[in-house]
Amino acid sequence: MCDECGCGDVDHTHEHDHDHPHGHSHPHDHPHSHDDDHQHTHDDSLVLSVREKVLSRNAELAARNRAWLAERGVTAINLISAPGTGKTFLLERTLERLQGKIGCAVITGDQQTDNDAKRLEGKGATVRQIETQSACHLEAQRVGDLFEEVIGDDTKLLFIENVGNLVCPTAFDLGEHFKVALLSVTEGEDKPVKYPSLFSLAPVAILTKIDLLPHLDFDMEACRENLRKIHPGMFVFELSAKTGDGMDAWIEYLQKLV
Amino acid sequence: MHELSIAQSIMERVEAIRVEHEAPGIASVQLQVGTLSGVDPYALEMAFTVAVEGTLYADTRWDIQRIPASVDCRSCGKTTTPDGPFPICMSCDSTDIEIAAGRELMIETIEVDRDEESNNV
Repeated sequence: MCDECGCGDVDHTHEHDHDHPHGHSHPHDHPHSHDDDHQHTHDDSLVLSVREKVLSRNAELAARNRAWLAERGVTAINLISAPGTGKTFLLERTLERLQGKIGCAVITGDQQTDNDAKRLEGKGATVRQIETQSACHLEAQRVGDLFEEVIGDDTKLLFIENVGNLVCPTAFDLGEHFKVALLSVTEGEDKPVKYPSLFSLAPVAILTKIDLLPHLDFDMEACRENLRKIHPGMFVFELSAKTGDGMDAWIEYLQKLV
Repeated sequence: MHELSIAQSIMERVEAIRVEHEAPGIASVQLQVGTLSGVDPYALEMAFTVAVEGTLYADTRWDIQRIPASVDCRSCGKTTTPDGPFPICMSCDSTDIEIAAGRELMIETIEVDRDEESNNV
């Protein structure tokens, strides 16, 4: 806020005269503008007005990624879930089904090991692993750095398998077209309301491992209701990558994206 | 959990500004963190204590200002302040809302130390 006039406008100048009631006036100017380098001094320090978003650098790089992908006609999907929901297994089955039909690429992130990349190789897609070490999420820069390696002339779909984590990856835009939230039926139907940030941002949810439903007390209707509450109009798939139940709808959906 | 990398991003940006102003150090940094930003201020404070160790920023004060959320509801027309990390109308529970405030994650101001020479000017 501008201290001079109390307004919220941070980019203007003041030049005005003051009239005083004691018989004379002494006009003087106070030109000032409040841009990024607006500053005032204390005795031994200087206060700089920065007003800058912390993740603006990531947002810039994500925008660059998005433009790069759009130029080449590639649709990128950011898959996010807790560890163990079945992202990699679903991707294995998905790549097998799309092999020879749609050119696919995968960037997969984990804190350590290239186990996921190994599992995904040999299914017609170019696969690269990012080991994030201490980080609990992927960031736009490291993902974008791999684009030239994984994306070829015939690539249409890029799957970005994020680090298994239901919270942090949500905060980092990678330049993907949209996020897909995965939730396995073993995790419980209340996860969407317990971890709303992901489910409110992702337009698509996949409920995985439905072959286990007979062994669980999972309430599918309550889960769908929770998803609707957090994200009205969310697109929801129910499937088992293991038995293949529900996979047709998912594959058909992907084919329509490209 | 991602507060550590947020703290590191903030420090990188502050360092760039410190170098630009040829300042010997940074006395304090004022940050704004909205309640819908996904960043926990306590975790962020903790992250700074770890991230600054052995750096120029060991004595820097990190002031974290919490910005309360404000959502405008399209269903009932009221403006309310959600009490949790999820944007929802507190009046009618609708999720059909516009977020007016609460997503902030910003470096607001930086108080840079001045070297002795410039103090005497």
